Amino acid sequence: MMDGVEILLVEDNPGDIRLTQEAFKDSKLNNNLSVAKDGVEALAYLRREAPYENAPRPDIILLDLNLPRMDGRELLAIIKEDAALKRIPVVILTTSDDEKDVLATYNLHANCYITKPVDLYRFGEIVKNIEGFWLQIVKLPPE
Amino acid sequence: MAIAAVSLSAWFGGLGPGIACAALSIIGLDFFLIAPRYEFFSRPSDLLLFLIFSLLAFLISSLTESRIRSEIDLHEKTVELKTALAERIELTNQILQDRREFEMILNTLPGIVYEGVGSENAGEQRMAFISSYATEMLGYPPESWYKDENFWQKITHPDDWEDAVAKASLTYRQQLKTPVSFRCFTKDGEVRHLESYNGVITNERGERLRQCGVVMDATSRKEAELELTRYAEQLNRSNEELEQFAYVASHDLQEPLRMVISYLQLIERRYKSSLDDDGIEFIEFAVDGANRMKALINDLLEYSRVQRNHDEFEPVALDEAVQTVLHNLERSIENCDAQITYDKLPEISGNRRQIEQLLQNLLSNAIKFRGENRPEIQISAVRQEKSWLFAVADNGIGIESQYMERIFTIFQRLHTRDQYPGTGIGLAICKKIVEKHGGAIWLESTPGEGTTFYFTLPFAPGF
Repeated sequence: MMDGVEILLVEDNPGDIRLTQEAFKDSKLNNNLSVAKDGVEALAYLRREAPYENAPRPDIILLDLNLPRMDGRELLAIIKEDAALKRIPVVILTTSDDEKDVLATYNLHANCYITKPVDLYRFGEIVKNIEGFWLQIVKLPPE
Repeated sequence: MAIAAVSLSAWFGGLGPGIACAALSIIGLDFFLIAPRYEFFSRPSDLLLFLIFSLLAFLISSLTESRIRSEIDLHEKTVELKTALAERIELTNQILQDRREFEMILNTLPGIVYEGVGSENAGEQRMAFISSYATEMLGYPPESWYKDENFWQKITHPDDWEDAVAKASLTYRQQLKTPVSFRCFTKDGEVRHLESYNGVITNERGERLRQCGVVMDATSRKEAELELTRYAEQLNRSNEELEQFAYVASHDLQEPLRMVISYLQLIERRYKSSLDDDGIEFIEFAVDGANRMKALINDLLEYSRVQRNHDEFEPVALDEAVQTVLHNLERSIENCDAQITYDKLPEISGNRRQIEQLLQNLLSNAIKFRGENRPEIQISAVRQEKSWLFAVADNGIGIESQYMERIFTIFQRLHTRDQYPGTGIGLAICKKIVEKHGGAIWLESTPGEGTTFYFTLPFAPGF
């Protein structure tokens, strides 16, 4: 892996975006967090379409489910069917703890599903765990 | 003269007297009147006369005999005939009276009794009888049918005529009992939903003679059914909307709550050094309030999920469910050294997750509201006629009878948060689960000694 991990956060809530940024700032890993506010932006970023021609390829995608324009489930389906994109691990990070959502997203080949906790400290721990597992322990695909 | 005597005797007496008179005449004549006495047949001409006389006498006698016989026969026959005629008249009167009575009975039936003749096709029959209820039901007197062979067709809704005729003809041919529905117009132009129950009149050999039946007015019943269906649909829709509302509301409230709690905590962390004690306490109160709100929302979600769940029932082994729940509550059981025992528990028909939830709520309550002694909780089951009756008995603080209804209401609590934690939804969820399974839940309690919760659950299928 290159130095510095590329993370794409797909999230529309500015409050959540900021919280996630804060949590990753505390990280020991060298990381770069990019943000897309909905599915359409995210897809343009991943496919390096304008205005994201120079976007780096993310090592991991953190995906919220309830997004405007194109929601998380739709985006997940598209990513996992796209030959160029489907190997990127997608971590669902959402408020819902509904069994139906969990089932649906795993069916669409999400790599894992995490419910965002209310508590700030717990959220920080979860982000640490994501880093620790996906970005340190796990071997990511070359491309 | 002798002939006259014979004739008279024969006329009145018949053969016997006629012959006797003839004999007497011969003897008398010969003895008393014609000489020489005691000498019969003195000359040949006498013999001839005697023979002629005898023949005549015999002829006259037998002719009149048969005449007398005939007269007697005629008389007897006349009497017989008269009797038979009288009987027949009596019988006919009886039959007419029976028929009148029968018709009166038919006319009291709250339906149009009819008799259709002349064809196996119900649409081509002529009505031999229509009961007088027709006037009351549809406004047309029976004469309307007697005068017009197509009267049924005239008053039936055109969309329904062919189908009704086909069905009625079928029931006639096959002697079925299914009713035929169709709409008719009354004299006032209103539409009525009718149902005809059709039968068949047969002779002793079972051959079909005529169609008969009674036509009932099902309008009010049909309207009531329609109303009920509409109401049920409305209720269903309303229920679904409410469930949806509860679910969406609780679901969408989670997110802003996260913002409140997380950022308060962020402030606390980042600016702790700038805050004085008051400041920190204020933030803690705020976070605490928000946390409680989250617990309430979670419980609401939980509650609305019980109803939204439409999973099919399956056999659930209650002792397995209890074991799962004991495992879930392991920590709190250890903390207070609770002793939980249970009888051999049966299998019931239901939703496994919900049954576990029910048991967990009851057991955690029993543990939470424990008294000063070591908590002892027993779970038992008794087989009843249509269901199982379960009991969860504890030796905790008990509940006063005036609150027994209230505690099953959502968010109703009997204690302050400092005394016992919780949002007050546990029992409301229990009640919803039990009711969803077709059972009932109640309790008995003595304050200071303990409480027993009772609930019923249906048998497993095929039990």
